[in-house]
Amino acid sequence: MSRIESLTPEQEARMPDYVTEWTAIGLSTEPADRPRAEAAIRLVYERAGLEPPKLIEWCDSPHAMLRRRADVVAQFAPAKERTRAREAALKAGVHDCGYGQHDAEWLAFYAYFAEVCGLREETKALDGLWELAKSAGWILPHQNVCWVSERPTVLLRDAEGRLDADGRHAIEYPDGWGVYAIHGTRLPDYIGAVKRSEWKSEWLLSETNAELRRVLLREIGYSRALLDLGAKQIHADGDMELCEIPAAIDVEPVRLLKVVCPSTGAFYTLRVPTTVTTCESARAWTFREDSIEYVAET
Amino acid sequence: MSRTKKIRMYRQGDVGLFPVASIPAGAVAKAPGQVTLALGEITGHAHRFDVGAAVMDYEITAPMAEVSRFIEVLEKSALRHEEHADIELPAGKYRVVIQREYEPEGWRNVAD
Repeated sequence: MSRIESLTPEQEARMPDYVTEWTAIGLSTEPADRPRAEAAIRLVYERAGLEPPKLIEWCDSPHAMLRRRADVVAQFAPAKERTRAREAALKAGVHDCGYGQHDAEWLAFYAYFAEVCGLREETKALDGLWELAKSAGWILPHQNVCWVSERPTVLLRDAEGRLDADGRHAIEYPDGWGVYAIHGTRLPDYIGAVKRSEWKSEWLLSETNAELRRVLLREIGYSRALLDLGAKQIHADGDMELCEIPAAIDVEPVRLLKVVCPSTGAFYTLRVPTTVTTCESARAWTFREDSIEYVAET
Repeated sequence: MSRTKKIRMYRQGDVGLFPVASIPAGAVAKAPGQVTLALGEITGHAHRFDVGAAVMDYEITAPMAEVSRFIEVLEKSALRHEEHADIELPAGKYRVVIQREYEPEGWRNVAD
């Protein structure tokens, strides 16, 4: 086995091409290239020293693929055991899969060394997986049958590349199954299916997951949460008001300073620690001081 | 209880300017150009001086430095913003502080 100790400048210069190519492979929403994917699956089995599957069956999402297998498993279980067998097959599902295009991030690494540094023999076992990643979504391989999923039809991300979509699936497959997400955080259906501008302050009271409550609070905003959930006044001073949302919606009480912008007249809220007790000290805290004399404000 | 001494500050929205006697020795002057003190993430609105204003921009890049930005106004200059009235700053040196907001695990600067 050859060992690489260093890269030539020419070899290093090829890295960005692999980043571009394999990122596109991983994020592709093109329909699967079925003949190419089926040849790839047979090659995956061959490289693993196995007979090719007798049947390759296409599904419209990884979710549909797992349900299909669970149904087949349940069919062969004794009648009394069917429900449990189905549940168990579903649960084991994700870990039994090959991830096709979603293996791009590690396949890219080996593709680079195979193609740029000539490590062909050493990487031969991956021939099928490379081809599969370029032609389809996930697979669920068994001895006689290999299920394979279509690629997603929708894949939406924020500026930092994290899954993100407002009121719709951030990733969605041809059968309509998908996942809701905001800046990379998965959302349950009851939140994700609703446009962010229409998220309800009451959810802050019923959601048990603290991270989700934080996401909700950030989107709903302190001002609206304050109006919807009510406020307890701590201190008032001119047109400033220091108040607290009585409901336990965060790990510690949400204390807010309401101020009016001298230029626009709009009121806005700033969260401050619960240790500040007056409007002035709260405002000074936001500028990292204890007490401030305002020479000029706009 | 002793009364805390009030510190003087000019404020335009979420940008505070505290007059100081001198710029700390560790501060490095940025290359000449239009001085922008803060840029709204969403609105793109900015707290900035006019192109060619006599304002020097200093930064302390040491990772532990709590205050990292200073300006020196060489001649009286106006700090402008799309939504806020101008602030006329007399010649002098200033420490720049962006308003922060509390979060239980720490704090973040106000994003407008």
